[in-house]
Formats: sequence, C-alpha cells, structure tokens
Amino acid sequence: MSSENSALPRRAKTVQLGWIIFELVMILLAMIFIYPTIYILINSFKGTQEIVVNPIGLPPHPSFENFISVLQREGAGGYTFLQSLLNTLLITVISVSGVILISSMAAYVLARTKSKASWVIFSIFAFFTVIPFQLIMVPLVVLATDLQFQNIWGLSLMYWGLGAPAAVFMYHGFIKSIPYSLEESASMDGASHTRLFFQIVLPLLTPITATITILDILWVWNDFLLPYIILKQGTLVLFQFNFFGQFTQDFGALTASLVMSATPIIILYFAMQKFIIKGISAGAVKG
Amino acid sequence: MVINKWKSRSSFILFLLPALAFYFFFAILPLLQGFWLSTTNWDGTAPWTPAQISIPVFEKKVLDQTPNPSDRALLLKYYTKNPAAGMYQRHDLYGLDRYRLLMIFSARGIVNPDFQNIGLKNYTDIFTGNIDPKFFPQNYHQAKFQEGDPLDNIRLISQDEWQRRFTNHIHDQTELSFLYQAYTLTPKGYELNKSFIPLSSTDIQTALTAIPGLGDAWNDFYGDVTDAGAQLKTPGIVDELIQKLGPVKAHKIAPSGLVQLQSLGQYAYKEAYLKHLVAHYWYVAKIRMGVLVFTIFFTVFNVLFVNVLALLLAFALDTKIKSRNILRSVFFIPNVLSLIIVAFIWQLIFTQMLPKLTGYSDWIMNPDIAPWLTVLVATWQGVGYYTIIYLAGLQNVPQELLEASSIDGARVWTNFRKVILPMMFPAITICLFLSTAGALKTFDIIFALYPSNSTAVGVDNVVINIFYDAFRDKHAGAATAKAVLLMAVILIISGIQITLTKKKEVEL
Repeated sequence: MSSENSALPRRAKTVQLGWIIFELVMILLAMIFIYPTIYILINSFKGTQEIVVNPIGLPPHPSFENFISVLQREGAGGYTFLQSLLNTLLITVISVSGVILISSMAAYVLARTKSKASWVIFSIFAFFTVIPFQLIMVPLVVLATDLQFQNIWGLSLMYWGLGAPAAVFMYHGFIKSIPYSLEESASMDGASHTRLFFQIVLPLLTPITATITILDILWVWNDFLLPYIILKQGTLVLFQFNFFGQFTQDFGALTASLVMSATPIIILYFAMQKFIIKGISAGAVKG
Repeated sequence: MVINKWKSRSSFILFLLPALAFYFFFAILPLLQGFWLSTTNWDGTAPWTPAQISIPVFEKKVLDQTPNPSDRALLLKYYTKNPAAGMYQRHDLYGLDRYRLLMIFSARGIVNPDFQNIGLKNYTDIFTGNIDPKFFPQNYHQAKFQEGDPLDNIRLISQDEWQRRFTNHIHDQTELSFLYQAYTLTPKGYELNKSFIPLSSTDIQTALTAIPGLGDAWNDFYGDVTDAGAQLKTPGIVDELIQKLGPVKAHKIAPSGLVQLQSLGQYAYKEAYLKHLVAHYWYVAKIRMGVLVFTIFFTVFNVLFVNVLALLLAFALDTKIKSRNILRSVFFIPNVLSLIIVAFIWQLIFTQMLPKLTGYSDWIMNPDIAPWLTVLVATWQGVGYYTIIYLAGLQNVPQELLEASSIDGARVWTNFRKVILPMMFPAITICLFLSTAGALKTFDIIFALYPSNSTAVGVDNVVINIFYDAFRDKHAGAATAKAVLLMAVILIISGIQITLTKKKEVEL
C-alpha cells in the first residue's frame, strides 16, 4: 500500500467509503436488533389506552404515572416492587459472597495439592456441568421442605452449593497460572495456611474474583426456576412473572414494570461490562 | 515435618469442606435422590408414610415387631392413637425423621401404594412409548370454522377444499345435497346463496320478537330450532316445533304470523344445520410435533441461528469500524436481562406491535408460527454471548490475514477455509456445545411466553414437559426418569465435544 501506483489513492478512497457504508449498515442492524427494548421503554411512558391505539409512535403525553402505579401495587403474596427488589438484593449478596468465599478456598487447596484425592474432588465438581436442573428439581423441593428452607436465607444457601462448582472451576484455572514463589516465601516466614490464603493469595485473585462475582450476580439476580419452586414469590423476577399473570391487560403498568426490573441489571452491565466480557471469553475458550 | 504434613492435610480438609459440603448437600445429594425417585411411582405430593393407620395393624404389625426402643419412641412421637376413629394418626413430618419412619415401615413390609419402588418401569414406559401421547408427533384436525363463529366466515369455500373436504368426505347423501342447495359454484369458488339464509341470526331473532302474540315463547322456540338444526334433524322438525307451540299460542298468533314463524324457523334451522356441517367437515389436517420433535426442532434451529449469526457478527465486529465496542455492547444487552423479562418484552411485541404493523393478529397462539417465535426469542437473547466467544477466538487469528482477506476478495474463501476456520475451531466447538446444551435446557422463555398454554400451542420441550409432569400432572417419579435420560443425552454431547477438542489439539 504505497503511493507508487497512482490508482491506489482512489482505490483507498473506495475502500474507505465501503467501510463507512458497512459501519452504517451495522449500526442500522444494531438498532433493529435492540428495537424491542426501545419499544418497551417508549411505551412505558404511555397510558394503556394510548398503547392499544398506537403502540408504535412516541408517547403523545409522556408521564411517569405507570411507574408510580407499579410502585404502589402489591404483587402476588403482597410483595411490592421495592420489597422484591430488596429481597433480590439480599439473596444476591448472601449467595455471591458465600460462593466466592467457599469456592476460592476450595479451589486454592485443590490447585496447590497434587494428589489423587484432589483430582477426584475436582472431577466431582466438574461433573456438575452435565446435571440438568430438572433432575435435581424435585429432590430440592423435598430437601427445602425437610430443612424448612423455603425462605430467602435457605434459598441463598442453596445457591452456595449450586454456584460453587463453576466458581471452583474458574478459580482453579486462574490459581494454577500464578507463581508459587510468593506463597513459598510467606510460608517460610511461618505464616499459617489461613493467613497465607487471606493475606497473600486472595488479593492476587482479585481479577478472577471480579469476573466470577459479576457472572454470579447476573445468574442469581436473573434466576427464575429455583426461586419459583422454592419461594413462589418475593424476588424481582418472580414479581415480574406474577405481575404479568395478574394485570394481563394493563399494558402501561406492564411495560413500566419491565423497564423497572431491567434497569438495575442494565446499569450493572454498563458499569461492569469489561469483566463480563473478559469472564465469558476466558471461561469459554480456556475452560 | 510430620506436624507440617498433618497441618497441611487438616487445612486441605478445612478449606475444602465448606464448598464440598454445600455442593454435596444441594447438588450431589439431590442427584442421588433423583435417581432413587425415578424408580418410584411417587406423584410429588403423596406422603411417604401413611397419614393414618388402623390400630391393630399399627400395634401388632409395626410397634410390636420393631425391636429398637428408639424406633418405637419415634413411631409413638409421630403417631397418636385416636380410638374414636380406630386409627393411629400422624403429625406433620419433616426432615430426617421422615426417612427414618420410611425405613421402619418398609422394614415391617408396609409399603405406601402411592410411594413404592417400581424398579425401572418409568424407564421402560418411556422406551416403549407408554407415556403421554403428546410426547410424540400426532395428526390433528384444525377446524377452519367453529359452530359459534359468524356465518360470514363460510360465505366462500374454495373449489379445491369443497372437493377435498365435502365431496370426497361426506357419505351421507342428505347432508351433501343440503350443502349443494346452500352453495353455488362461481368462478371464485362455492358461494353461499343469498336466498338460502337471507337474514342474519340477529335479524331472525328481532323478527321473531315482533310476531304478535308469540311473546316470550320466541326464545324457547328459537333455541329449540337451532338445537334441532345442530343435531341434524330433518327439516320437518320446524313444523313439529310450531305444532308444539300450537295449543297454547295458536289462538293468539294470526295466520300471517304463523307463515312468518315458519319461514323464520326454517332459516334458523338451516343456519344451525349448515354451521354444524361445515364446522364438522371443514378442517385442515395438521401434524403436531409433540415434545420430542419440538425439542429437536428448537435445539437444531436455535443452535444453527445463534452460531451462524454470532459468527457473522464476530467477523463484522473484528474489523476496524469505529463503533465496534458500542455495537458489541448493544448485541450483548439481551443476554444480561432475565429470560422472563426477555420473554415478556417479546410477548408485548407479538401481541401489540406486530398485529398493528402487519394487520395480522394471530402470532403467538398460532401453532404454525409459535415454534419459530420461540426460536426467534431464544436466538435474540443468546446471540450476543456467542459473539463474544467467537470474538475471543478471532484473537488467535493473525490480524494481517483477516485484513488481507477482506481487501482481496478472491482470497477470502481460501483464507477462511484454510487459515481462519482451523484457528477458530476451539471457539466453534465450545460454542456448539454450549448452545446445544443451553437449547436443550431452555425453560424460562417458553414458560413465560406460554404460562399455561404451551401444550395447546405445541411448544412444549422436554424440560417444560418434565416440569409439568413433576409439579402439575403429579408424576414426579416419571418426570425424574425423563430428567435422568436428559442427563444421559447431555453426557453424550459433552463426551463428543471433549473428544473433538482433544483430537484437534493433537492435530495442532
């Protein structure tokens, strides 16, 4: 691509024009792709009657009435939107922090021990990927009844067990890639295993911890079936699900409820995008 | 050194224990229990141990035969004698005690008929096809006309359909000749004669109320006449019904009124007769995919669309266009939303926007379109995820190669086949595997799009079917057996994936 040939500049120009057209086409495609969510967003500012008459245009009299009405309504079991949001927040925090703690510890000893036992245990964790949820679904309901676990605390503890395998898997891969020398020098100084782990190893794991945290938040926050069979009501997704069953024709409130329950996760996504994308590409291609 | 070894072993166990314990408790234990439940006939709700048991049986067969005093204490803790009913009645039973009581009872040979081991019957039932027929493809007739629909819907019937559904199908000569009286062949097809039923049903009813002297009796008369028509009685029935009115009303209804009553009655009778005939014979023969075929359909098309689109998108975004990061974010957005939200967004699109845009309103409940709509929604949700994996895979391909191939069109295909595709192979394998497993397990989207009517529309996949079996139709044992087979399928698929990856790694 030098300037020896006089035909090249013109060709370069056409190539550039081609890129511009290509970019415009891609932007157009992306807009069509994301239109359904924009459609919901626009309609959430219309009244139900306006949606029925004119679902496609812009709101003639934009108002926040729908949002206020969703906030005021009681969904199934008397849970309001805000209560469901709070419950979901609580479940997510307890679940994800627990998963992070127990999985990083387990993965650490598994990655640093080269024994048959550690290989077998790691394989048992890896086996989880082939268990379909439908197989453990009925026994989990039985177990939850037996343990009186049909509340947000019980549900969170269940997530510890169900989230551990994937997290152990990802931590395991990461820990194997960090050098042993730091731990070695620390253990020569006489640090106990516990101190070694929490003061030296855990800080080193921050990048993968961030990735696992965000992926697990997305999973727990959005999960439907487990909360549905254990709790029936009380989380944000269940509020959303029951809301659609309850107010089938109230399109204004329905669209507003969708916008409201999607907003927290969308904000999280744009704030943490880097980690999500890193986590998916790393987890998939290396794992 | 010994102390050190002991120390490291104890910390190995201490560090491992929490994760292992929770994993064991909420995944492995349920898995083993799932295997066990799949060999029972449990319906999901029936108590494992009898809720009540007659006094002599309990005392002689259970209590006296139980040697262990703590077992006896347990039995008496949960079962209280109720002499009035002649029974021992059980209190609420949770937790480990439930399993202990179950063992005590089964040791005494007392088995609850609603919770007993039936061996591999659930599995043999599945393999011999002895399950809900909805699991397999089925022929069915979709009526093109319902008896309650307005007459306007059958004003025109195409000549082809007339031939296929009426002439070839109706063996009763009176029925056939009735249809030939009602319709005339025109270039457009068979058209309903205007004179055959000149009045609409509301017109008939208003005219009936206007007949002097008939009074409230019109309502019963109209009802009787239409019933007679729908039961395909002979036309004479109209006169009979008028006769029936006769003794009471004859002196009040003028002769002109009687004539009118007769013709109105004939019209009402003919309309009901015609509607019944057409509703019965005018249908489209269709095939419902059934759970098994729909699952395969959904999986194949979802995997195909998601991977092809994601691959194309990855190539498009792995170029030097300026907006590529924003575009990548946009295509990924559906993936962070809860599947329930995704399903509801599309539900509103299908029920409001599309009808307004196209003028055609039958989308989400149309058995011909619905399977494709579920694939569309799942693809829309999943494509961003796989795009990211493919983009990561493209990082392995030297950038100059991609650029060279995009400039010189002739080399694009060769480059793609010889260089890019092999480099992308790990990403393609993992995406195919993940998307296949994901598609097989798609639950939320279908469940939210069709909260109660997925079966009627024909979009039940295996996991939805298992869910309904377990919690709605009360076949928890059989449902778990299906889930075990699903696990076998997933095991096979992941086995294929692992061997493929290993083989390719060796070649590289």
